[in-house]
Amino acid sequence: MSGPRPATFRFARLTAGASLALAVLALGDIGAIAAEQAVAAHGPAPTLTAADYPIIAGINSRVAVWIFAQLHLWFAAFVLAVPIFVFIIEVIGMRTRDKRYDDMAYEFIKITITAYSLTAIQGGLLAFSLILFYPDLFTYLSGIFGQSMFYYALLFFAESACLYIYYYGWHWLQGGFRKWLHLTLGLLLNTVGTTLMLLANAWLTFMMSPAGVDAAGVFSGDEWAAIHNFLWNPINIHRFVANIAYGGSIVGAYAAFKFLTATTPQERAHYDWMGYNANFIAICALLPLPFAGYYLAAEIYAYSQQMGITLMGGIFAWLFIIQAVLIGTLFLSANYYLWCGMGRSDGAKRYTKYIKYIAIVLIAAFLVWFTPHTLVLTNEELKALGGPHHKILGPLGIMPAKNTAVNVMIIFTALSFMFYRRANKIATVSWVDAGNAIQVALYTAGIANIMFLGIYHGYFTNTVYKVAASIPQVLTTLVVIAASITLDSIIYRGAKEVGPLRWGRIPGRAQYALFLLAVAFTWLMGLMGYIRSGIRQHWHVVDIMRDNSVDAFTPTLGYAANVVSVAAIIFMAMVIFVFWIAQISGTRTLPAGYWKE
Amino acid sequence: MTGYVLPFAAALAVCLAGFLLLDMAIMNMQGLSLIFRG
Repeated sequence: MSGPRPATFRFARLTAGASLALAVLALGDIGAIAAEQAVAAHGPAPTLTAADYPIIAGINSRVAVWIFAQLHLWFAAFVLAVPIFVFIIEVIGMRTRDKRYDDMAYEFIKITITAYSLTAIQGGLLAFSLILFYPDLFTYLSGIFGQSMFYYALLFFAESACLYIYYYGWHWLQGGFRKWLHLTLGLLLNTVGTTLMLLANAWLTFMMSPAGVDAAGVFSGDEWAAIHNFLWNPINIHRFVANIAYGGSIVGAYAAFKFLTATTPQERAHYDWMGYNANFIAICALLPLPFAGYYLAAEIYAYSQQMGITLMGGIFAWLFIIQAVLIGTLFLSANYYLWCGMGRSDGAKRYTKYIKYIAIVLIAAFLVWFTPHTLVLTNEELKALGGPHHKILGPLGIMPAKNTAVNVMIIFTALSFMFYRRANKIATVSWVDAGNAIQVALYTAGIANIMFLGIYHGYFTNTVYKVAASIPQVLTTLVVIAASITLDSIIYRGAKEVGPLRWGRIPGRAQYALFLLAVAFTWLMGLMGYIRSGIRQHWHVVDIMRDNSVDAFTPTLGYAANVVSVAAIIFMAMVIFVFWIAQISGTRTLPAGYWKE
Repeated sequence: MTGYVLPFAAALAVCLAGFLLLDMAIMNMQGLSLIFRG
């Protein structure tokens, strides 16, 4: 294609796609008719020139779309994740008949309401900016995903309806059958929300690993094939888990904000409890997250070695060092919050002596994790060092060392959590010493196995073994965590409590760990999102539709980090607005003498 | 001390053996042996 297409042509294609979708549904013969008509309706992916990209008001198209997409994604992650754990907390409240859970779930969902509007606004801005700045790409994608875009719009309405009834009907639908009805609405809300995410994931993963099209980009008419592309499920899993961790961190920041501004001990106790639960949710999702990320990266490699090498061995490799620093920050702040939280129990003194050792191990693993393989050096430094690799620290720069480090960090975070859970309990079973011995043996054997796999397969075998050994490493970690929780629950069955937990007895600085968690998560998602998108390099749709705009180049890492940082600051400002709205919604002013008596 | 050391030693042996079996099984499933054969 040599010049811009007329808008009427694009509209005609969109309309044709939507009409086709409806016709197919009406006839009920999806397979054959859709394929036949779609082949006739779809041509190859357009070949664009710089003139095909409108320049509007001198705005940088890429930066505009980048920021709107990022803001939309942050808000969407938040509003999709919070209802998931709100639903779980509501179920816990229903089962235990402890109203505190119900109140907490309601407060969590209250924050989501304002964020939901902002998500929709950001989504609208993203869609408009795509249509305005990248019309041919949007037309091509909507030609393929016309049906799913149509259902996306319908599902969006369904989600809005579910959310508003779920929130505004909270106090109305209480007790007996009404509570069951409310929970069903919560389940429906989560089902619709997750389906929305899966659809949007299909569009972005199609751009990375296109399917359902031929080499020229001609759509076969099978939209499911385009949706179910190679990277769809790896992204689905990674985003689902990450969203929960992210949602936990944002509501944790809200609880911290409320804790720090609380005026009564009761309020402090309530928001301390809320912050603990939010951090617990974030940690539970954070523990399996590196595995989901590793799986995604492995699948990217499997789909395209070129993309894989660009991802972690090319220009983006240094962003993974920043990623390591940020994930290390997440682990340290989550652990620090747990250690501070142990002060709520008078029985915690028995375990505080071990904290320094956990801290040492976490920091050592953190240092290994962000040790770069290839150093950025001046010519003089290169000559002095004899190459870009440090002789002693260089071996720590390869993946087996990182995998070992992250598994050790996860195991020690699980250990911190075990101490936290034990802090206020005294075991009453006669075999408590033997039980503790088994726990120590389990952790020792698990760590020994992780080190064996990391060192032996990482440094004395070939690449195939290095990659293959990462799977038993992950499984070892999961086995240790699962077995340890099971064993501890048996040891502490019927345990006595040291005393009542003193909610609110936590230093203010612990709340800043919750803020740090939210900020680190936000920045991390922005940077990693940029990498995921950036590995397409000069392609809109990899190997199918080339990006020929003036921005079809990979920006410097500093520039990318600045864009992500600006977006993160805008997002945080909006989050503060959301918190403020939630704050004032509970404030009443009674102006004396203003209203008629 | 016996109440601690013996269970520890026994559990350590069992856990190490269990993890080794797990490693062998996973590596075999990937068409590899636990011990590298260049």
